[in-house]
Amino acid sequence: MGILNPSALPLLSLLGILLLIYLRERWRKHIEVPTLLFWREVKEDKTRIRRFIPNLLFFAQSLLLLLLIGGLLHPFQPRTVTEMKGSRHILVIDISASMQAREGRTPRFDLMLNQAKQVVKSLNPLDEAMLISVAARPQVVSGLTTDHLLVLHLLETLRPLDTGTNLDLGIELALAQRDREGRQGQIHVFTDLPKSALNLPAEQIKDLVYHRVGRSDDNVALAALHLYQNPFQNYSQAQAYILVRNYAYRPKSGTLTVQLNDKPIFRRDFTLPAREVTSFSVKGFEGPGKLVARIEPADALTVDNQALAWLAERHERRLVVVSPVKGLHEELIRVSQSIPGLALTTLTPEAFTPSFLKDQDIALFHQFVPGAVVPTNSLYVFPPPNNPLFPVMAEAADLSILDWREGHEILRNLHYVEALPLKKARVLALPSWAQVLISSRTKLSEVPLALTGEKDGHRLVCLAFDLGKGNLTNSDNLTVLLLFLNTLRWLLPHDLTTPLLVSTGEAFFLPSGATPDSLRLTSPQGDERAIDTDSLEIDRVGEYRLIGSRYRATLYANLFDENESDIGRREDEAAPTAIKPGSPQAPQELARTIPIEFGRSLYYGAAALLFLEWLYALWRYYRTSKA
Amino acid sequence: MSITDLALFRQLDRLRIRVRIARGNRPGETAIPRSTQPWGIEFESYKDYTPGDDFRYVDWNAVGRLDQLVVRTFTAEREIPFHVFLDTSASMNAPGIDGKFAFASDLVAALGYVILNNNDPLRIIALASPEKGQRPFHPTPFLRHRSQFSRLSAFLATRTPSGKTYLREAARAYSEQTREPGVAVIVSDFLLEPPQYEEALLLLQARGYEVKAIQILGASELAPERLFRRGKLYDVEEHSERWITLSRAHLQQYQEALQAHLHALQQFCHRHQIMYTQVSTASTLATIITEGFTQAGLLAFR
Repeated sequence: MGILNPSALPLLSLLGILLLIYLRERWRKHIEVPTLLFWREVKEDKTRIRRFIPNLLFFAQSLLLLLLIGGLLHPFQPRTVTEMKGSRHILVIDISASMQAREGRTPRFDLMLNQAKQVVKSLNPLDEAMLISVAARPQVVSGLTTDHLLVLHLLETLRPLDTGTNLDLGIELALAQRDREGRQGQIHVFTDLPKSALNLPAEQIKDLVYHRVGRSDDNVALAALHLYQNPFQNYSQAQAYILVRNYAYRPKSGTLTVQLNDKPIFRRDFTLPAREVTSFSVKGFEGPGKLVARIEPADALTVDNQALAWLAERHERRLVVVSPVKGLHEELIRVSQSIPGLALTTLTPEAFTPSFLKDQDIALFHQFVPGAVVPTNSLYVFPPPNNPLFPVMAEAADLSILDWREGHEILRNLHYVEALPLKKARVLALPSWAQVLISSRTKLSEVPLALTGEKDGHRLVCLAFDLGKGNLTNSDNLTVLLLFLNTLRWLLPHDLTTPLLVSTGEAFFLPSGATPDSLRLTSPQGDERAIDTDSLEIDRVGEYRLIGSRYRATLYANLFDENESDIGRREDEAAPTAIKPGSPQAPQELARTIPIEFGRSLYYGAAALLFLEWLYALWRYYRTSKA
Repeated sequence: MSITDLALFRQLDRLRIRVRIARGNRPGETAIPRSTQPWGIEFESYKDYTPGDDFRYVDWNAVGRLDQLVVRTFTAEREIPFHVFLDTSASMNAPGIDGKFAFASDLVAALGYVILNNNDPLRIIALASPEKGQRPFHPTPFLRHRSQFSRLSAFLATRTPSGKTYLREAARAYSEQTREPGVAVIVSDFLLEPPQYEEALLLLQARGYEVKAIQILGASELAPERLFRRGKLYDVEEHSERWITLSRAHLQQYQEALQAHLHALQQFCHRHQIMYTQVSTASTLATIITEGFTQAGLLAFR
């Protein structure tokens, strides 16, 4: 016997309280008599009477209390029951992009569905089946059920997506479900991946019933579409690199077409040897707009034959520099002259007023911090002591850079971050809204040297070290110049009209405050639906449109996944498994221990006891009245 | 006694209190056997005529036969003053479940009704704890008619049992101030040391009262096992305590002591020709009035 709710155990102390009440009552209570004349001869027995001698009422009340507490404890009696159970069959279905490949005239996915249906149909009626689909993430389509018709119906509803696959995760999920409640079962994996592509322990893989479908390797894909255009470059300076790969084991030919705003601007025929790659460069664009690269080979998979990019128009970027150092003004002017599209305004702190920030994209404050946070993205360099934004704790010299956030956009292409010249630096207290980008360390604590963050809806960067004269234009300090330019690039406000590039299989996180706005999404297929979550699953290639009153955006989703495009992945070991309907296994008799809770019976017992007490009291009352 | 208990009142209408020797000075309705008066209704005897006798009562037939002047005399009829002493000490209310005091009050009310219904004067004397300079009793004025029963009820309703029993002091003080003795009915539990009640009863008897003692006992006093098995006993008058376990032997000891006390009281009353009766709260008032008191000789049918 056991209990399910041990938290009610302290209630047993109520029995002690009941005992104390009785003892107190016994010591306090006296029986009034008219005289003690006749009791003088009777021997007094003080010790024995003070001792607690329970009466019937105490026993009844204790029993009532025990029954109620017992009910709260949820006691149970373990009972071993045997039941007939079929075996478990978990079907893991790969619905990634490669499953769209055609095997002759039949889609690979349909072949796989047929095999899966055969497995379901061969199951014993008592067998439980479960359906898990796997693309970029696994998803339980159907829980364990003996309703095989439902599973067949759900199989019919599955469609392959335009994403990569994470089959390992799906199999892990299936293994966890199979081993639940200590029961054994079979996991059927339906995929076009070879077993060798799985990154699982061998003992897990050997238990799988692996159904590999697909033989065709006939695929030519756009492996990449890179558009090189930084924010300071115009569309005419942009350059597109297109990578085309032949995944087939025989030569393939086709035609590459590049369209700008649906107008063909580039067309080239190509012939690729087996498993070879070629690249094309396109430049000299005549206008901004949507760039579509498309190949037209005769292959089995079409989803990777098209890619999208956006050719942006250069806007003038305005930077205002506020610094007391004239030398820095001159240096930045020289730098800005080499950056087309950058309009620079220089000011001294004395001449600065917030009105100068109007229509400015970025503000740079050197050795100066305005009284209030400015309403624009800002870069603060070497802030002075006693400034209101970055409290300066101390001065430091000759620090070494010890740590930095490598993946941050500001540190992109900086191969020698530790080479930044740090003659002087300010030790800043880290504001709550900021994160450390680059840091050093003293004996006592971490010293932030560069901070990034967002405050009041604007991006802020603070460099705690100073930019000395010649830092930016000296060829020895290329790292500082790159850091400076990357920082400006990160601080540039995003143009909402510019489409965002995403990869299929990724989750796109919406900015905060966008969803309450009845945001609507138009998918590449033209379906329109409302969005009420904070993120989008990008599972189709093409153009997504998000339209709301507060937020609107365009997403270009591309599939550049070598694993998916390589549809004819070969395996050295075994050939694809031939499908043989599994022999139906006889239902097995399973013994398991289940807790039989009887707390409710205790409640009934308490109610019955109360009723009996009431009856007894009634009887006593009538008897007394009668007497 | 419930005022709506009409059946009981009808029974009380038929009753009177038996009086042996007591009599009052004022004419009343109670015939006093073997005592005469020159007027009346019931013929008693003759006596020789003496100057001053009323000529109307001369028996001329006897004069003719005896040739001697004789006058008729009649049975004397006097009122009997009743003094009903009600014990209002705390012991009359303990143990509470017996309702001894309420029972005694009802009993006094019933007796009072009988007395008033016979047109005899009645005074209720509530024995009380004497406060400084106060008397140890609270009396009503003499009530003389059935119509004053409501005053009697009101007086009883305002009594609350408390304090010790001052029977001896009350008897002495009351008898000293009352000029006309009569029947003294003492309603009490008599749970006192014998010298106390003996002195009180003898004192009243010595002052010319015809004493009648009614002892009220609670059901729990007669059978204490109904009240408790073990516990701390508390004397409500003496404020003393005693821890008792009621074993069979202890119960036997209690019963022996109680019976000895009751026997002593009964023997004392018998020796001194005091009418004594004992009633238990376990009985009903009607049973006690109509059976118990008539058999004991306290009440008789009219």
